Amino acid sequence: MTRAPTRVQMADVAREAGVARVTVSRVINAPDSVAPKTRDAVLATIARLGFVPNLNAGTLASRRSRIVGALVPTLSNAWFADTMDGLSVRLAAAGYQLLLGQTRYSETEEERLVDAFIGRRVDAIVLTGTQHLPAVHATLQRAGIPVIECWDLVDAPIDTVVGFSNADAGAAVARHLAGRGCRNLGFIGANEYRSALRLQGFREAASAAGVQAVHTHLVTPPSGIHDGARGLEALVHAHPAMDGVFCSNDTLALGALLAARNHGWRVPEQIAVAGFSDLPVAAASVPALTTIRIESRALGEYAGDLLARRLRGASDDAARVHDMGFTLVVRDSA
Amino acid sequence: MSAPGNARMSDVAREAGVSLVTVSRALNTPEKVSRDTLAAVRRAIDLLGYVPNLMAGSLASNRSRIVAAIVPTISNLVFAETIEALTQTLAKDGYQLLLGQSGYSKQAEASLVDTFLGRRVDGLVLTGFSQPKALRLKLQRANVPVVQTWGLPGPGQTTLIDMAVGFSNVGAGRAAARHLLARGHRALAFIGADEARSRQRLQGYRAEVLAAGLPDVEAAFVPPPVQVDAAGPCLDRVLERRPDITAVFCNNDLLAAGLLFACQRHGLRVPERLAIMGFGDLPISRAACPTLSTVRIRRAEMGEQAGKMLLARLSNVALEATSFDLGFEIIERTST
Repeated sequence: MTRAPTRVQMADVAREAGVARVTVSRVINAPDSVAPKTRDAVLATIARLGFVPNLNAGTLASRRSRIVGALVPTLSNAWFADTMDGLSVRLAAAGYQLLLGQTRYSETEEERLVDAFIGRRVDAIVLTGTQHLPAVHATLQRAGIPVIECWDLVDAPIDTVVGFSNADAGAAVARHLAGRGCRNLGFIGANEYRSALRLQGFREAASAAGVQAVHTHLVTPPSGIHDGARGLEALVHAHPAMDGVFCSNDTLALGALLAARNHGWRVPEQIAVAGFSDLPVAAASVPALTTIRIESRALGEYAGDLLARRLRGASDDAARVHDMGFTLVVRDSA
Repeated sequence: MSAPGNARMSDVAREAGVSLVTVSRALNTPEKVSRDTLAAVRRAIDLLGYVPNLMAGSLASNRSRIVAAIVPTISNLVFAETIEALTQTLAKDGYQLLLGQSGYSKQAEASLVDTFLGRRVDGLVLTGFSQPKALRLKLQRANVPVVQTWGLPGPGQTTLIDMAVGFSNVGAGRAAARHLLARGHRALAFIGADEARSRQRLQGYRAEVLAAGLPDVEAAFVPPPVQVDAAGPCLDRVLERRPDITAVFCNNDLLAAGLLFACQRHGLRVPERLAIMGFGDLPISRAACPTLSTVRIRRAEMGEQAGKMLLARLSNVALEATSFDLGFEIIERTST
């Protein structure tokens, strides 16, 4: 196919419109300072030639890239995708674009991406989680840009944390299951630390409620619907008396529900099943899933607004720890 | 937070006691620098936590090493997998991905394209083929490699901006209809998102049904992005208008799963009373009970191939074809 040999330059617009280059520049950057007639002529020429102003040129002068780097383990998990969706929408509204990286649950990959993003002079970084290699802490603390960690809570974040307590959420599920009479509990979760925090809270609250033991089945992240099905089968096989199970996300819980249906195990009568995150499928499934609701998109939106304020220089918000909380949503499965 | 700001190359030079150009050489052509000097520069870099400015390099090479992608929404898992594979393919060659979401709006897509072109991205990946003519021309004039995904240019249409990787949405709709017709269904319905690709699938589906001399397809639309809970109300609407319907083709597997749950609530047996066919072959279609028949789309390969096409163009490697058909596959399971 044939392609235009060169890009349309500002000089081309100036020549075509019969004005000076500085006038074209003013039309782009300070349109109010140009006479309406001239402005309209230049804008018409810009449209006709398909000229696109170079936003990077402004970047060099202001040392601002207007790019925010964001890292998630994987977009294939709907809850992270929702957070990125909310973040991207709010940042776009403030004139920032999102540079996206996926760590695939690897701390070294996170380190590599943080270096690459800092190298690109991103204006801010959003990380998933609060566990990072020491080198990442050091790099980010030196970088002098806003850093938001999300999907967890810690007392001393690198800069700012927006999230919820994974351990408290796990504890809330244990109290709910124990409260409805479950005495023999199981846990199906991904082998990563946010899931481990949920298990820790779940275990402690279960023990406090007099539950003897919590049987666990851990899978390699990212965890899929089949992992939930196989997890429930393995747990029931090993512990036939198990009467309640907490899955560290709704995808796993949905797999567990479908496995129970396949085997004719009645939910919640025989086994109560609880999930985590409240994906739309939780309310739609049969039986409807009891779960912990995390406002994944709102979390991203909140982080985006927070960054936009910080980057505008309006740091009205001195708080470094933002607890978005969670809600136990009781439906039919537990 | 306490942040002294980024260390600069001049700070490294001063700390290591060498000139700026030596630091630059140590970074870009370390083999040209003596071992002792290299060690001194590296010590200074570690001490100061200096990170080389990739933007400066991009000015010299006129390459940003950034590719932008626009999808309707990453909340839709089908796009997430394509983007994930694209990101990984690009990362191998040192490219990063800027992500834009159009929210299924043509206006938002056009404005994102302006922003990305303004940032002088090295390549663009777009979703679909419904870009207005002005936008297509602007992209062609921008002299930037562009890959359109999730479709293919139709016969006689000239909507290919530059390169494409995808499959025929019309063909996939036809194949879904043929599968249901072969199973003996004569009254067919469609539930899908109100957007271009979904309508193309309906077009193929409908053409096949009409060609068989059967009554027209009963179609129900939901606003995108489609979620699992949208199917239930559609089922009520469809069966109220056409109680004779025995099979429904859903525009994606989430809708199909939602329809399956709605049938379970209503006590409708699947597939005996109602056959359900999905689209996409998401993991839920294999795990559902009964398992869902569907149309398999190679979503990850689509992202990978889009990345490879861009990288080939960026390194001036000739492509065998500018349009890459990944095809699709009918997966017969127990729901039809």
